[in-house]
Amino acid sequence: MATAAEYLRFYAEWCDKLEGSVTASGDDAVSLVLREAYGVVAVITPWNFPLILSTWKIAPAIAAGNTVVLKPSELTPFSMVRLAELALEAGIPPGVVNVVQGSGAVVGPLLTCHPGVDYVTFTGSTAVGGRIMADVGRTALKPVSLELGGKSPVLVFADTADMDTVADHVTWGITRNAGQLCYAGSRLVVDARIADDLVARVAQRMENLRRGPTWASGVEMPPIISQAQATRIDRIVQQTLAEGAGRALGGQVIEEGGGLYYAPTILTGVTPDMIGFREEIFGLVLTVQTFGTETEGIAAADHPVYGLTASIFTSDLNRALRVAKVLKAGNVWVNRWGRTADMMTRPFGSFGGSGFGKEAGRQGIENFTRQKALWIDIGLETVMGHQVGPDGARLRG
Amino acid sequence: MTQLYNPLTAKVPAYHLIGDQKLTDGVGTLAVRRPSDGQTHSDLPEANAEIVDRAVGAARAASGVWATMKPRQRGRLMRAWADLTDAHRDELATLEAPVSSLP
Repeated sequence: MATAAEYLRFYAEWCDKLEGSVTASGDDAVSLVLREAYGVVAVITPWNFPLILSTWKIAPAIAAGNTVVLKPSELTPFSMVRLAELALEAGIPPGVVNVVQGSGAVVGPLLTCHPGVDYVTFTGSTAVGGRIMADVGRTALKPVSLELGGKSPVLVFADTADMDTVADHVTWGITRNAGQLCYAGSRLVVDARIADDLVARVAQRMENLRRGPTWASGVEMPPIISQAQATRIDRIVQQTLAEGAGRALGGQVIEEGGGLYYAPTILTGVTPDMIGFREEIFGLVLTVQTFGTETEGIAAADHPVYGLTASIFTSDLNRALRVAKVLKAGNVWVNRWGRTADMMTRPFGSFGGSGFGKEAGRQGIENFTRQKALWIDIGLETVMGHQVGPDGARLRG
Repeated sequence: MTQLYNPLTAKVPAYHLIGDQKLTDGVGTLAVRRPSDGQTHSDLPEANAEIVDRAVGAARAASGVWATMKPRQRGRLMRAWADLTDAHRDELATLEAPVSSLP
């Protein structure tokens, strides 16, 4: 909640700080590049962080002068309606923030393909992102920005100073919201010499998580959002085990008090041919890959589809920068995993199948503007080497 | 574990918000479940083409006023929205947490 409010404040300040530019034109003209709002932006957001992920889009979109129609996830539809009512109470004119309810399958295409919608922004799965692009492409062409799935590596080198700190980050990276997070650090890629030690430390932290309903205090492991997700997580884990991965921890669905949880799971010896490597799991499942050399580590961290975030743990600054520069990821963290509110100053976005378009920072608001190049002839003519105005009088030269 | 709030007491805004109108029309209703106990929390109307059309129309109608407002004034209104969001933090949390995976 605090983050959603801070995000609104951050972009409130950007309203009067967007800038266009003036380009080279010669003396007889002025060349301006103006930024303007698109108009109506369709915003479609997921269930895992409803208020925050919706505000990430709505705040910069309206700060730039657009109006929005939001379709929140049909699983978590209520908080955003209330937030939109608060916009009215704050004096934002009716119609600037609208909310329509319903499933992505039914309402999604009605909204994205509506001829009155000028821009579509979506956070969710890579499969649905692709469908939105196809739908929009078949109807009326309009820009689309997508923040999609991930399979983000946490790359740990043997020269890392403090293994307990690394274990804390790795654990938080996969346990936050029970792994139901687009940029979850779901792949531990670790130097083989320290792999057993680090996996043991992470396993010790993961197995002691307190699970419980979202209305209980002290819960570290919230439930899985739906039966369908629980089934999917378990299917991927069982198939990965059948393909030869080892199991260091977990590996089953737990039902408790009517809620579904996935036992914190660590799969070792995972290789690129296994489903647990290829597919986003979106649950509390950490896969482990090991490497020998730095080059092998970089290769193991790479994913053929996804490129959302990556973490690098090392005490060697040159190595950190070398590796950061070659990793395919829109966001790279060194000696940490995860975002904080302080990172709203910088663009968050993806490479490859994780999507495109930036959120947060200056780029986040520029994303919701289009640029208009304006050229103005100002009535100066050059006559016999002199510049003269419309009345023929010599102005210069 | 202590219960932070009662998930059953929150008044649930199960409607579309178009302009300043609360609407419940649509093709039908969906059941929104609580992942923590598997029970149905509320019904939700599902928009049809007409509802989407009205929402896009409302957004388009507001576009002129909003886009031409002085940027500094837009910022003031957004800051007021942020302040209200902070003031209603607990209420927003009790609307979000029961149906989500987020405590």
